[in-house]
Amino acid sequence: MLSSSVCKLSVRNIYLHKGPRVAGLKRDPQEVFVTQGGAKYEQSETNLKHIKDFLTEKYSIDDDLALQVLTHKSFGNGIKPYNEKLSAMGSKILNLYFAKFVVEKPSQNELAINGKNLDVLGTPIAKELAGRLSLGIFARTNNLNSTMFWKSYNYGVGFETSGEMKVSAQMMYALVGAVTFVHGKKVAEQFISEKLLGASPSIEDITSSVVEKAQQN
Amino acid sequence: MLRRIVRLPRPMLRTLVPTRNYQVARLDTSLKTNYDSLTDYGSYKNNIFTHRLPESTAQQSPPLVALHSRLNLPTSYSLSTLSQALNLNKFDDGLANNFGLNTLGKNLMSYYVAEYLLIKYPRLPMPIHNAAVDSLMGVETLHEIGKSWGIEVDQSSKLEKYLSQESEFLKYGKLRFVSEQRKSQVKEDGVYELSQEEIASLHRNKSFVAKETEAYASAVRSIVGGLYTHVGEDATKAFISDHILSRKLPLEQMFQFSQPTRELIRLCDKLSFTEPVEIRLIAETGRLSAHPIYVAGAFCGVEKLGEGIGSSLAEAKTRSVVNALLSYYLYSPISADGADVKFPSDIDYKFEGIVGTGDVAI
Repeated sequence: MLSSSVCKLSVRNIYLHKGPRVAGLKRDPQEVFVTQGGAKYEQSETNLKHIKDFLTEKYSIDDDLALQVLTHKSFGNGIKPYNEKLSAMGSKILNLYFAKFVVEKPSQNELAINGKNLDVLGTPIAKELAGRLSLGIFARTNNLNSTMFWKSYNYGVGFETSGEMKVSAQMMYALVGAVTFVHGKKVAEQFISEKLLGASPSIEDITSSVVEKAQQN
Repeated sequence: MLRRIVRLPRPMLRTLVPTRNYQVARLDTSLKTNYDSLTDYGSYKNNIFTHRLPESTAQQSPPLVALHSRLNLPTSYSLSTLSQALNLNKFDDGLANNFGLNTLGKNLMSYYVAEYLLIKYPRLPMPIHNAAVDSLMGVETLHEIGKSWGIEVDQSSKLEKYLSQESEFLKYGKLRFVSEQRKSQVKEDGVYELSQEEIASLHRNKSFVAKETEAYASAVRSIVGGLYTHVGEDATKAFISDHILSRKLPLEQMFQFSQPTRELIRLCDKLSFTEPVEIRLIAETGRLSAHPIYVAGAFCGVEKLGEGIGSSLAEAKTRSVVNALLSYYLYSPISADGADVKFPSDIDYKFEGIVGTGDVAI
């Protein structure tokens, strides 16, 4: 039998500081990991509800991955798992999907190669379908960005200027990326087709209005 | 003279904060693009291009047929598409150029390269990930690949072609990006004169990419894009895997740590390790010996994260920490049966790897 003196249990006492930042002191996570809107960083029903409802059972992802989708690099100095790698995957698959989507449409253009009209590539609509502005607006329209863990230099300067558009778009890329990681490329393409192009307003409607507005200015 | 200081109200100040607003892509007017409606994708037509190279003409170009065979392209991949992939000229008697093929190829390559790196090396820090993408499909790499495929540049002017009685079909198998005006300029050996575009690019990003380098890269991307149009995505994926992803990637040489110990501590914090990081001396040959050698280990509790050997305590410590970081960042998952994990684009894909959780801020 081991005597109690052999069992060594190390216990660390760390002081967690509350209130304004003091250099060198570790801040209390309960106070730090909270969004501007007051949402606590945790896998709670309220935090994940919007994206879980959007994904439905067919495209479901784990709660920890869902929380990672909602977390931006700017939150908590990047100490929590954030969505950079997920969005790297998502942005690439979205760009590829929409490039294929636009060239596969039936065309009378005699320069089309094997029925694929490549003249549409490089046009504003083809570029902006997977663009940050369209996806940011899509996230806002579908209330997907209502709970996001991020930090702005100034929350009060509007959707685009505060960085909310960029962070929302990155969250959307991450959402598509998470579906790709979990379910594979084929299912992710179905997801884009069903949930992004099939939504009301669809990503196509949003992009058209974005491009039209830019052409008017 | 009195100067008045005007204090702006806070809301007005907000509007003065310098921001970069989102720039929506613009239509390239030089292409004279027509379309029926924005979302009628089939109706888009670039009117500066009038025709594609007839297949019968393309078949008479020896370099084109040779390139087709050398790359082992399927027979359904038409020679006219291959010739179009080599044409970068916007104004070449109405002959369609490779812009669309290039864009398509770039999208395909970007996806498959990203998928490969994100699954195979999920913990790579983002700067290393980007450098790895660049070394697999960056302009310089694709230039080298294009050269290894034996693509030649069409550098002779119309007059030179006429005087040397060169067949007019030869040029359709060569990389066409040099303008007629530039071709006819007298060249001096060993002197490379920059074009206006090259000078402009030099000022913009301070890194010089020769037009020829970019042209080769564009041709390689276009050939990949052409493969998709003729034989579909599966064959394109196999082609990218054979020619791009098969190249050796010296990832461990891409790292450079400015504050490795601090980074390791921060990383352990991010991974919610409860024990503190400690560097312990494991062995030494004797401090008073002529050439002492130390073996240090980076530990977190009882877990050894890395080990390093050095001729001083500081060197051994740093090496142990760097080794710990490298073994974390370069982790590559394997499947339950010990084989490589599958990629999302594979048939019967099952997610067995991990998702990178992001770098730590130091």
